[in-house]
Amino acid sequence: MTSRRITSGAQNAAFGISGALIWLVSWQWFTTAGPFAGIVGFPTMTGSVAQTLGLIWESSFWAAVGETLKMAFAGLGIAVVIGMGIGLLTGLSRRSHEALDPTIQFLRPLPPVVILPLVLLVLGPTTELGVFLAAFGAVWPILVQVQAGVRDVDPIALDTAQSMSLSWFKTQTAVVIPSAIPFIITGVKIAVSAALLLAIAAGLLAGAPGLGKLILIAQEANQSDLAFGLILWSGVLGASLALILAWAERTLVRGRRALEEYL
Amino acid sequence: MNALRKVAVGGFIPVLVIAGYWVWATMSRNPYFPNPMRIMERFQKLWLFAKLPTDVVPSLTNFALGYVIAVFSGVIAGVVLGRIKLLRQLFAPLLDFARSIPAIMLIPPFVLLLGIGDQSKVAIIALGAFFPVVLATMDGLRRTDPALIDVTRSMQLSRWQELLVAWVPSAGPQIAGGMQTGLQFAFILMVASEMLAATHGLGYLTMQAQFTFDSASVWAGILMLAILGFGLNTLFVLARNRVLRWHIQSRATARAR
Repeated sequence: MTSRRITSGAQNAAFGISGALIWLVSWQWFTTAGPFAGIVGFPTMTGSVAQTLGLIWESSFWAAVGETLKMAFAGLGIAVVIGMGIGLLTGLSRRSHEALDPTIQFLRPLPPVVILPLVLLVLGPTTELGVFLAAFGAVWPILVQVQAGVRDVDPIALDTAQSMSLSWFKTQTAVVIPSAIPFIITGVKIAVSAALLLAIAAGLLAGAPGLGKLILIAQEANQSDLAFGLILWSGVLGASLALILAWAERTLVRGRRALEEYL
Repeated sequence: MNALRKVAVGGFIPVLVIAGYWVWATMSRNPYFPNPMRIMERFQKLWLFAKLPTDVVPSLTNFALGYVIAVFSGVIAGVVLGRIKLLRQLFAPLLDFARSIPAIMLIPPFVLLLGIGDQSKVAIIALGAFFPVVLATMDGLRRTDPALIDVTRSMQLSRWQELLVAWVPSAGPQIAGGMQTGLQFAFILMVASEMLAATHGLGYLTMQAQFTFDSASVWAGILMLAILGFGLNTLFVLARNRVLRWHIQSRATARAR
């Protein structure tokens, strides 16, 4: 069983790597011998890969990655606090749901990029700009998931809490919030990619520090191979964050399931 | 009566926020936060309808063109990858990786390759909206009920008919989900690419207003973008509910049972 799983995993990896190789080789062919040869702005594969690997030794690149992650995670932190606050409120009280839901439904589909010019006007091209945009984009998925998670609380657990005459506050912290945790993790998982996108947008469109600014500089200097290198790294960044959160989700959900089975 | 109460309760907070902002903006005279009257005046001057044909219609044309290209090529690629195992094994990991790239990063290389005109805008929008559609289509095909396929086999449909009457419709709800994400990506990329490099368009004008500290125009531009974003999303939901009526109804009956 396990050994079969390992072989099929190795097989999948082999297929994935061959797919990537096919892509790389055809990219090189297209840009050196094929129809895109010699077109300005279409870098060759070898040039882009060289830039991608060269960035590993650039301390300014890692500083930019740090800046971007800092903005994304600061925004995410703010979004978790606000999203949980409002989500708990609208999830727990029918009346506040009626009062807030129409506003939330109107604001939620708005892409945060839309408010960028205003935020730039007020805050300037700063780290704060990136944090604000990331928070604004990350708050909605968290809010929606927390609200759903609170509604999903087992009514028997609530009855038990009541029969034990737990205070309101104690009921929230001991029963409602723990049972909403898997939903919150799902919300954070969705929110992370939004926060990362907006932290980069803050740099690219508004000149805030970080990866976005680096790619803006690459564009202005006409260095399309460097731009491709940065794109590949941003994909690595996004994919590793997604992997880490998927792992966290699995661990937490598994822990909960084990607990439920034990009970 | 009930609906009236709902509107009153739901409208309370927005009205309160706008009224509070109005009072505050009038009193503080902060240049970045003009009072709503000035924003509405500017909105009317810019968007009703002076700049509409020059800066909204071309943007929306690029948007529509890019989005339609993304949906068609995304569904076709998704069906090919979903039905042909070898291709899926080879390229699904690559697609997964491509999806992790923040879509905004794709703008600079297109600007370098195709310039700042409509061509590069359409290409950026199409590529950004393509990924969610492909992945959702593959996912939808994977979840197709095998019993349904057995039925089509027993009816001796050709492979093409099987694809068109069974596989693709049953993946419809997932495809619609991917199309909705794609719509949001397309809108973000339309606005962002105009903010970064363009000569006209809503995003461009709003960003230019920001550079000249013309805050009333910034607010008016944001209002217009918000209305467009909200309108496009609403249109999409209405169209989806119509096309997927069979699915929504069958789910409702399943729930009633």
